[in-house]
Amino acid sequence: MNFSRNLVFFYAFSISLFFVFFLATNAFAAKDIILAEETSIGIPWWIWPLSLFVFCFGLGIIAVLAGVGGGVLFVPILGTFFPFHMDFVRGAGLMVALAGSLSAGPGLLMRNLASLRLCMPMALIASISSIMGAMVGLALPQNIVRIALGLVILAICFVLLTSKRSEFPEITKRDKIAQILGIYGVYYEITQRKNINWQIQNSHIGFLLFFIVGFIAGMFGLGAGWANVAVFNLILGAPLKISVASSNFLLSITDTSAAWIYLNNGAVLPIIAVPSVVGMMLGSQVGVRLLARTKPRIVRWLVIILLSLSGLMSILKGFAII
Amino acid sequence: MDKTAVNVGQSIETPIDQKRYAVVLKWLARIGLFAILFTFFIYLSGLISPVIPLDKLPRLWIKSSSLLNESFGISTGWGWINLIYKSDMMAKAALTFLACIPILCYFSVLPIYIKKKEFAMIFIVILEISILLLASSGFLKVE
Repeated sequence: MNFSRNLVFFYAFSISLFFVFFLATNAFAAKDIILAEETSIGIPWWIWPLSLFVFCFGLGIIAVLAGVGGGVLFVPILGTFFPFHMDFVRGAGLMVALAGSLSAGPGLLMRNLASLRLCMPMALIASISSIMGAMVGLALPQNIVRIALGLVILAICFVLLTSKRSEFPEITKRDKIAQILGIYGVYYEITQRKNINWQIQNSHIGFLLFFIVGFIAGMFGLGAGWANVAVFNLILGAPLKISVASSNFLLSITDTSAAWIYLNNGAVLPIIAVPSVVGMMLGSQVGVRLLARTKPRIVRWLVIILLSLSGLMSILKGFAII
Repeated sequence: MDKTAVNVGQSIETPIDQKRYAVVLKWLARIGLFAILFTFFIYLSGLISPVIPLDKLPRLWIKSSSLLNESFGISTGWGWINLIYKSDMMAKAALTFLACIPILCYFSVLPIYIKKKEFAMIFIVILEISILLLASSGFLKVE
């Protein structure tokens, strides 16, 4: 449970820091807009969707090879290196995570890797909090969002670095909520050539953590795969494959709730969202094919470095230092 | 394991609720992705004019969503639907359809739980649908 404690600590740490910065800073937005304007104007409009497509195609490949969701890479990197307002970056980030999850969902459900009964109760909690997160995120000034995003991204890097996953966690006692809702299942483990039965524990802690994860996902437009897998696997005790697949499927529900808030507030621009969605989906397909020929460990390190860099730059941008 | 289940090989059965959700999701996701590509092609081709001219976008996407919407008289919530004859709003409608998919999937499995009298699952499904409908209603505006 050491890792779980670290995870809870880092969520709490990120959120507390965010509120500290929310209270402490408030005056750098104007300079930020001028900088973005200088970057954006003077370049023909069509360069941007084209660059987005190419960029997201690459991101899709890297995301698969590194074993992280595209959403978590999309928002910090796009928010740092492209001139778009954070409202549109986050709106597009949610659409990217949603589209990827919707297209992967049917296969994962049919193969019994994602569990509908496992996801539905967790999705309910995460949906409520992701709506709250989206509303808070859209109401805050851009510089505050950048600072908070940077901090969350650095916390995610820590989670990625320290994450120890358990392929088949041992469940000592199935909890009551899981019994009432019939949350258990069986899947075929191809590496062992046998059926694996699974069940879960600690549902109440899972609910609490999914509430926090949903809030962060909604607020920053991040897909929450990086956190969902850890909660499913290490807290609830679902096997790793079930955790990864269920996390992927869960995004299609939680991101939808937040996506509606962004859509209804006009924060989803097709010119940014569509090339990103298409590029990321095509890139993921290529990534799956390259997976067998690359060393995921190296790619994972590259992603952590890239994320740390964009997290730091996001904080510096938030403070108008760069 | 549930008797009303379908075999997927290796003698493992996919529960019927999960199977129905997957089938509905598969078809709606395909339709949604096709719609996104089709409407985006119309948008970029210039066959139908958009609300926000493409060449003006680089001056506008650096501003917040509320400022951009104000500049072009696009109201929040479902107000944009009045401009559906414009190409950028058609592309937005396709993206909106993607967000409708989970709601439709939840509706598709509800009869299964009602038939089996699984009250806990009925409660969860109805509550989730209500939350998603509330989020989609446009009532939750950010000023």
